[in-house]
Amino acid sequence: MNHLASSGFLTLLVSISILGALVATIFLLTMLVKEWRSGKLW
Amino acid sequence: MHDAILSPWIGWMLLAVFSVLWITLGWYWGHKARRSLDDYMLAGRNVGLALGTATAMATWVTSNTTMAAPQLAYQMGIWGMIGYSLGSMGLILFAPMAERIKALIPRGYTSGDFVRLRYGKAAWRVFLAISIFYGLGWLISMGMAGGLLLNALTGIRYEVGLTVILIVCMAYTMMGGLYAVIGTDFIQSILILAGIVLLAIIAYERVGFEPVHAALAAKRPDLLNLLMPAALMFLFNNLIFGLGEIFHSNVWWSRAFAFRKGVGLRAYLLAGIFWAPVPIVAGAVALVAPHLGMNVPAADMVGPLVAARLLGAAGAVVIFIVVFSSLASSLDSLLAATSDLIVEDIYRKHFRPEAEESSLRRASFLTIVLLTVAAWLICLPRVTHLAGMIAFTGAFVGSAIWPIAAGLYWRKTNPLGATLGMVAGSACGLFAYFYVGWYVAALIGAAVSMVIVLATTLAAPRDFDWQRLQEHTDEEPAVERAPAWVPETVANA
Repeated sequence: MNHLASSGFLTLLVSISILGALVATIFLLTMLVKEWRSGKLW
Repeated sequence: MHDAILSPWIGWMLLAVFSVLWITLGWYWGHKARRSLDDYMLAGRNVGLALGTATAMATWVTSNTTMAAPQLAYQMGIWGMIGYSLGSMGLILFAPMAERIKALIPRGYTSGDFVRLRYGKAAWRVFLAISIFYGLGWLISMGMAGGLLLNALTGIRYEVGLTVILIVCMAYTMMGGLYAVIGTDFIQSILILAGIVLLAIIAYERVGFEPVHAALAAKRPDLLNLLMPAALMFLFNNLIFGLGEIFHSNVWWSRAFAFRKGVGLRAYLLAGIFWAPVPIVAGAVALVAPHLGMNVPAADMVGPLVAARLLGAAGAVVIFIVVFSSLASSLDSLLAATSDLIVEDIYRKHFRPEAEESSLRRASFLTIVLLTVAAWLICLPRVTHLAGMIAFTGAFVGSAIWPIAAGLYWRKTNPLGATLGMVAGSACGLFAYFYVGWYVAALIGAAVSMVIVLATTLAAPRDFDWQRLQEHTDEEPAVERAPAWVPETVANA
C-alpha cells in the first residue's frame, strides 16, 4: 500500500535531480565567465 | 575486507595530479592573500555570486554526501535520498541570515564576534567551546574518511592517504587563505556535479528505470516504502543537525562576511537549491545494485562498486575525483574557519588585543599547522568509531540554533537565556545521545534550547541596540567598552 507501485516516481525524482545538477553546472560556469569579464569575480 | 577498486599506481597518479593542482593554485592566489588580513581571512570581503554560490555548495558536499548518500539510498531507499537532500534547507534558511549578518556587522571576522557583542563574554565562551569542539569533530571525521576512502578505492595505506590529504589541504589553505579555499571550491564543485551526473546518466542509460524499479520491488521492496520509520526519523534529525551546523559554524559566517554586499542571500539560496539534487543523484546510482545482482560487502562502498561494475576503471576514476574533491572542499574550509575563530576570538580578543596584522598572520599559519597535526594524531590510530564523532556533536550544534537565530532577529532575547539555552540544550542532547540514540541528539538539544530561549525572552525581555554590533574597523582595534554606569575616570583607569 505504502510502496511505490510503478517506476514513475523514481524516474521523475532522478531525472529532475540530474537536470537540476546539470543546470547548476551550466549556471556556475556562465556566471563565472560573466563576472570574470566584468571584473566582479572577487 | 574487499579488494580496492583501482590499482594503487592509478590512485597515486590521481593523488599527485590533484595535489599539485591545489597547491599550485594556493600558491598563485597567495599573492592576493598577502595584501592584508582581510584578504587572507575573508578574501577581500568582495566575493561575487559565481564563486560565492560554488564555495557554499562545495563545502556542504562532504565525503559523507558522495559516499553516505548512496549508502543511505541502499539502506533506506527513496526516503534516505530525499532525507539527505533536505540538508539543503540549512543553506536555504541561512540565506537571509547571511544578508543580515553582512548588514549588521559589516566589519566582523567570525561568528564569535557576533556572540560576544550580542550576548557578552559568558555566552561567547560557551559558544567558542561548542564551535571549536564541533570544528575539530568535523575535521577528524573528514580526515579519517579521507584515509579510509583512499584505502578502499585504491589500496593506498590508510596512514599514507590520511597524511597526504591533510598535508595538501593544509598547504594550500595556509598559502592562499580564503582566496585559495574559495577558488579551489569552485573547481571542486564543478568536478563533483559533472562527475555524479555522468555516473547517474550512464548507469540509468545502460540499465533503465523500469528494470531498476522491478528489481527493487522483487528483491528490496522496503527501499520503495514511503513510510519506513527509520528513514523518517533520520530525515528529521538530519534536517535539525544541518540547521545547527550551518547557523553557528564560522565556516558559513566567514563566507557571509567575505561575500560582496547583496551577494549572501542569492549565493546561499542558490547553493541550497543546487546542493539538493546531489545526494539524490549520488544515491540513485546505488539503487542499481539489486538489478545488477551485486554482492555489496560494505554498504558505504556501494556507490564506487556500482560505478566500477558499470564503467570499469573509468567509473572508479570518476568516483575517486568526486570523493577527493568533496573531501578537499570541506577540509580546507574547516581549517581556514576554525583557525580564524581561534586566532580572532582566542588569541586576539583574549591575549593580544593590540596584535598587529603580521603577528595575526603568523598566528593563523601556526594555528592551521597545529589543527592539522592534532587531527592527524587523533586519526592515526584508526579508531574508526571516531569517524562517528560528528554525530556526537549534534547535541551541541542543535543547542546553538535558537541563540543564534533569535539573537540575529530579536532585540528582546537576553544573554542569560542564550547561555542557558546552549548549556542545558547541550547537556540534554548528550543525555539523549547516550540513553536514546544518536538520531535524536540534535533534535533534543535544539528543542530544550528553544524552550529556554523563548521562555527567558518572554520573562525578561531586553532592548538590545543593534548599533553595538558595529564594533571596529581594521584601523581601529577592538576595545572593550565599559558599561554606561561606570564613571569615566574608573573606566579609563
